[in-house]
This record gives sequence, C-alpha cells and structure tokens, in this order.
Amino acid sequence: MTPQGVRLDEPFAVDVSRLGSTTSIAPSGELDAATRPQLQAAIPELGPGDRLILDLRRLAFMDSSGIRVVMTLDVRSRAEGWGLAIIRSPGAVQRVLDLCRVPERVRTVGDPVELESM
Amino acid sequence: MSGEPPELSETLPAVAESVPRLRRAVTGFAAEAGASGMVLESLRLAVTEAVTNAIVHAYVDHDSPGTVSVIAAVDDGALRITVSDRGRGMLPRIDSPGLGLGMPLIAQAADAVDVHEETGGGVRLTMSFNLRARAEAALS
Repeated sequence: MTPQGVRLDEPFAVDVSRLGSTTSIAPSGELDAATRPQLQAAIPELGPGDRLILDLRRLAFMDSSGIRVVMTLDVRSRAEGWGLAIIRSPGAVQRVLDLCRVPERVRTVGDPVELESM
Repeated sequence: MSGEPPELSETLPAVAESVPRLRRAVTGFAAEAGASGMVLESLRLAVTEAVTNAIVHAYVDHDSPGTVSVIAAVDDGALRITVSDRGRGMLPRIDSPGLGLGMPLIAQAADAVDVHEETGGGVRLTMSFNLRARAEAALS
C-alpha cells in the first residue's frame, strides 16, 4: 500500500464514465510503457464544448509514459476546443507531474469540487 | 551461506511487458535491502525510465528485440542499480517517439548516475541511491 492507501499490486484498469459533455477517465494500478496503450485506447473522440477529466487518484505509479499521454491530450484539447483537467494524487504520481511541470500547462486540482467552475 | 552480499540479476526480453516485471523485481530487492519511502519511490521511477529507454531505443534497427538486464546490489550503504542492453549504443535518433524525459527524471531521482557505452555495442546506465541519508528533496 502507498501512504495514500493505493495498492501497488493492483492490476491496471481504466474506468470511463460520461455525464453530459464531461467524460471522466480514472486509471488505476501502474501506468508505464506496458499499460499506456490501454489508457490511450480508453480516450474517446471529443469535440468543442466537451471536457475530459483525468482522475489519477487511483494510480499507484506513473512514469514519463503517463506524461506523454497528458501532454498529447493537452495538445489535442487546445487544437480541438475541449477542456482538460487532472485530479491529482498526493504521492509519487503528483511528484512526476510536478517535475515535468504539467500543472503549468494543464489545470490540476486536488478535489473534484474545484472542477465545478470549469 | 557464501557470505557474499546479496545481488539481484535479471535479464528479460526488451519488450514493454518487461518494464513492470523488472521494476517489481528491483523494488522487492531494494525493500529487502532497507530502502523505503522516498528512496523506494525514486528508484522505482528511475529503473522504469532506464528500462523503458533500453526497450524504446536500443534495438530500433534490429529485426527482433534483444534483451535488457538489471543488476542491483548494496555497496557501502548505497544501492547501485545497473540497467544495460546490447543494442545500438548512444546514437542520435531523429524519429524518437518519446518526449526526452527519461534521463532528466533519472537524474532527478538518483543520487548519482553514470552512462557508459559498451565496446561492441550497448549502453550501461548505473544509478546509485543512498540508503543511509537520502535527501528527501530528490523528488519534491
């Protein structure tokens, strides 16, 4: 278990839910080169006015493969006119995001309530 | 008992599925050696990036993937982890599929890093993690 209570041995999975124009994608387990294709395959086509929330709170591990997914989504969202936000995890995953300065590019929140004004 | 200090040595095919297997092997060895908290987090990230670099770049001009090896051992209070391949070496690549974040993240995570191009092909990357007094700022 991590300090956040996330199991390190949890198999990788991606939960996708949609409410109106908002799609939430919540990967769990370990995100790396082996599991990145699974996450990418879960990302739907989006259009102007849509928003995508990437909920990273159940991730036990993430490397630069995850950063690549986020940065690709950032470029797509700007080009296609939809919104992108990340719900961060307080541990190692967030430190990788911070090291790569992702919060400077992508809206990153700790509490989903903060997204209500998005 | 041979009296030799414990060492981890694993060689797997240089394919994406080997990334979590090698990370978990090193994590288990490091935890047995006394690594915890931030040190464990740092080495998990660094090993993952190093193995991924080998998988993505080392055998790009080969018909089939080669192997990637990880050796870990404790030496004078430090955990030394070597990730090596037998691929094309440190040749520039204009079609790189990555963001170039692997080595910067390794440099941030490890206390010391050494990269060596092997005579006859391949890259050997050695990372050290201080088990005694690891700076908590490494990933903060």
